[in-house]
Amino acid sequence: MNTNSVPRPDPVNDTNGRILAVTVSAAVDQRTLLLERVAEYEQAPLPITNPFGVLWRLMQAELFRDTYKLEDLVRQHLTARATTAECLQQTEPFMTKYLAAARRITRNASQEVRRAACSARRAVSYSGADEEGR
Amino acid sequence: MDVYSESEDDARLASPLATDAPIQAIDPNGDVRTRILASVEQRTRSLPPPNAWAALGATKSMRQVPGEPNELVTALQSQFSDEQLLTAQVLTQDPGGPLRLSTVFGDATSGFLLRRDRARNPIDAVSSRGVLTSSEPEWLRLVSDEGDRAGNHAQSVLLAFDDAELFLFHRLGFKFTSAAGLERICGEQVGKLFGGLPKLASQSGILLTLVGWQIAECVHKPSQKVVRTLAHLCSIQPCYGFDPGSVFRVWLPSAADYHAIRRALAFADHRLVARAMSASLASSCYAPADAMIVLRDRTAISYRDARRRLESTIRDSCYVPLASEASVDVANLQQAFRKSVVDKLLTADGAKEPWDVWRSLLAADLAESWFDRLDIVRAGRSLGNGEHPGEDAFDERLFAGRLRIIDRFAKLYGLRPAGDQGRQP
Repeated sequence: MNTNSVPRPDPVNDTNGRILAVTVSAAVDQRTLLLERVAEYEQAPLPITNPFGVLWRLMQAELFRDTYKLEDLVRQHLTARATTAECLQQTEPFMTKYLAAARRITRNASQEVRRAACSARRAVSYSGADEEGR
Repeated sequence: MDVYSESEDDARLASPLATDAPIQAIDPNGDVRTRILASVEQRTRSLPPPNAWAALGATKSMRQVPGEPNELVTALQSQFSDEQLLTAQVLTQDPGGPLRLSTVFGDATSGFLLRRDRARNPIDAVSSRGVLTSSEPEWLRLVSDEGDRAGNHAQSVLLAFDDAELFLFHRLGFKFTSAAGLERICGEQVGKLFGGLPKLASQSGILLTLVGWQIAECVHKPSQKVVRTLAHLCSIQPCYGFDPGSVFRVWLPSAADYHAIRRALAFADHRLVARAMSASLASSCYAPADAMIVLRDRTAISYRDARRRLESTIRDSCYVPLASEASVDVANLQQAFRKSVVDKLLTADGAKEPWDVWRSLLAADLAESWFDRLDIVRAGRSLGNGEHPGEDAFDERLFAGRLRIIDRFAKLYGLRPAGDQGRQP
């Protein structure tokens, strides 16, 4: 997002302007925070440093970044002019791509959760076998 | 142009850096020197290749003094007069001191190369300690002589800091010269080196190339001597205002280049090795200042940090295009990505079953394709090529390509490894 284009409130007493500025600045902060969280996810230590897992996380993180970029593009299109049917039609390709990326993120996330659960189950069963062996 | 080396293979290497056939220099002492050097050849032995390169075998032109240098001096004195030996510069003498063998020949722990003419007669000797027939460093003379051809198809000349490097450059057919004296290049030499370049030329016709990896030992980092020399060369800009990048390059093979060279070496095929090295030379040479950044950044930079650095370079390029920084940042990001993902997949860490190895290799392929389609990588590369990064623009084609790769990788990752519960997928 281009922070230079953030509307500046009237320094004297423009309540609407101040609210808008606070909202925009909060959105910028939130976006920075979200990207920070994505970077953390990307580099979070895996239980087993297998390259498949590392690549998986890098891909997921880039998908998150794609959704942010697409979200910005949609927002830019919608705020640039009055919302009309034509405007929405022009925005549609970006929305479609945004949804495609978001679907991948959720699908990959559930696969990751399943994989983690499976690994945990296996670890438990192995330790059980060890107990029996002893 | 003078000749720096000659390959003993009849079939020339198909490399653009392959050496030309030597041309006999016009030298009144040439005949005597040739006879003396022929005698030196007879009285010395072949230098064996460095251990890591043993498969390449020895060459006839790379020689080694078998015992004490004084024994060779005595043997030569029995055949030639002192005056002849001194004129041919094979022997030297300090004022009032005894006659000594030229340091170019070294001793039983070092080696030297005999340069030959078309008829394969020895005409000169070169080692990491210098060139027999040249009182001033050859690297200095080469650049000065090529000054009038500046900017036209610059040619890389590798700088040999030790005899083992010299051996390999010769064996593999690269143009090279001795780096003797470069580590302590003085102000006068700087003036001569850069002063002769035409004002508008961005680079010399000869690019003296420091080798940023220990080729003889196959270690993927530069020797201390090269690092010291590089630091010294980088000081030329602040001290004299000349751009060292107009004359010098540093060859820093990427991890992929290095693996390709090692793979080629495993086949003991010097043509294959030379091709891998030529390819790396064409793509992984940096100006000294950039090389310093690459070396600094190669010290275990994480993917996250490398990505942040590239992001910031692209952002800062809105005001001033930071092309060389972008190239370095992309190289670092790629290096970090390969280190943390691709290399591990290629070596198939922990995989024992062929199925797992195949799955891992396939994933490595997908990983490389995915990386190449990242917006930030494309933007960095465009910037490095002097084009607008265009990172804000959304490239639908790249995005679609990434999604396809992610889907394929998700399927591949979802497949059960062979060792998992003892079942093949």
